[in-house]
Amino acid sequence: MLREALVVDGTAKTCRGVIAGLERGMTDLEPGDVVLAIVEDIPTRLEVYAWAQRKSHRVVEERRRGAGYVMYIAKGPGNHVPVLTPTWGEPERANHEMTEVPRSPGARA
Amino acid sequence: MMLMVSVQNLDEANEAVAGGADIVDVKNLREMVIGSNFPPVIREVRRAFPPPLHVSVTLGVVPNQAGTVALAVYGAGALGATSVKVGFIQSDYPTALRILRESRRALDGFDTKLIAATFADSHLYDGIDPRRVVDLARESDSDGVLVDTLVKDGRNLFDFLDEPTLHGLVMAGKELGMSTALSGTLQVSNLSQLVRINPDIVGVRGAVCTRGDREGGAVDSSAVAHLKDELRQRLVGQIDVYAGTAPRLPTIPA
Repeated sequence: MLREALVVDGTAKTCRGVIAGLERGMTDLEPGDVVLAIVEDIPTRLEVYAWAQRKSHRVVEERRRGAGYVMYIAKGPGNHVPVLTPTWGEPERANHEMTEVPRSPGARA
Repeated sequence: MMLMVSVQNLDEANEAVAGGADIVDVKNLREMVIGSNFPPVIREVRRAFPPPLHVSVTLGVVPNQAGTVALAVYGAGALGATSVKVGFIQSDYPTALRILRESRRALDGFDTKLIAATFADSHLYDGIDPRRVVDLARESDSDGVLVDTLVKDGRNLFDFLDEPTLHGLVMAGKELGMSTALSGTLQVSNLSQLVRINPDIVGVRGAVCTRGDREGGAVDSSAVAHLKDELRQRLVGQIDVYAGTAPRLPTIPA
């Protein structure tokens, strides 16, 4: 069971969206800390995956919530949590792999 | 993604909210097609729709006078606006930045958010490059960005900036912690592009007015509801906006 250090609720009717909330929220966290993001639509889910990949964070768990998703994102770089890796641009292949990412020096379990 | 509907008065605000608008944006079409409305109108709309409903105020295209603009921004704060949009056309970057910084100072003590706005068609007016809006917002500590259009001749946002450029601006703004908004004669036919870009806010008027007429028509709740539902269908995947080009992500059981 993952324990989140921060919750970013994209279903709240605020002008600032999930990515902005994640960017601001991640700043004060340590590598390996987990943020829970609640997203309510597909474009934002795609965006969170792309953003996490670009920033070396990792989506480590994901669940459906109504029409939306609850996403657990571990701050990068590196820890021992299995990562959900999208296969960008290759839709005919298996759509994800579980990958064990080696712990980086100083990262918390 | 929030739906912002531009309104001119309380009647239109009622229609917008009844149709499901998340934000009513009070403006005055008689002043530069996107100009400022009068304080009593803004006050009336705000009283009818207190927080958490969002009531934004546009200052439209502002003069190159930092004090004048800052005072108008202060007025938006005093009226309880959720946000105030300051747009630039015939200005240069240093002047616009100075105006935004003074606007920021004017909002001290208010909850009102400051939104830096540029126009995708600004080259028609020898104005600021719209792609600099994120720089302007970052340097002035603004809370968000808006890219709109000034010409209302049938051309729209996508006639002036393409999807990759707009997507880049939106992501740059988001990664700086800003809210991001796109507007400019947007129609239902543009919704798939907009959902792919995924700004935090989409602004419309003509698309939700009677006869589709942004000036001669009035905001109509059924048109707002229709557009909102079209948007929802794209956001939840009932209408595929990616046409098979999206990355495959993990399948999560419902």
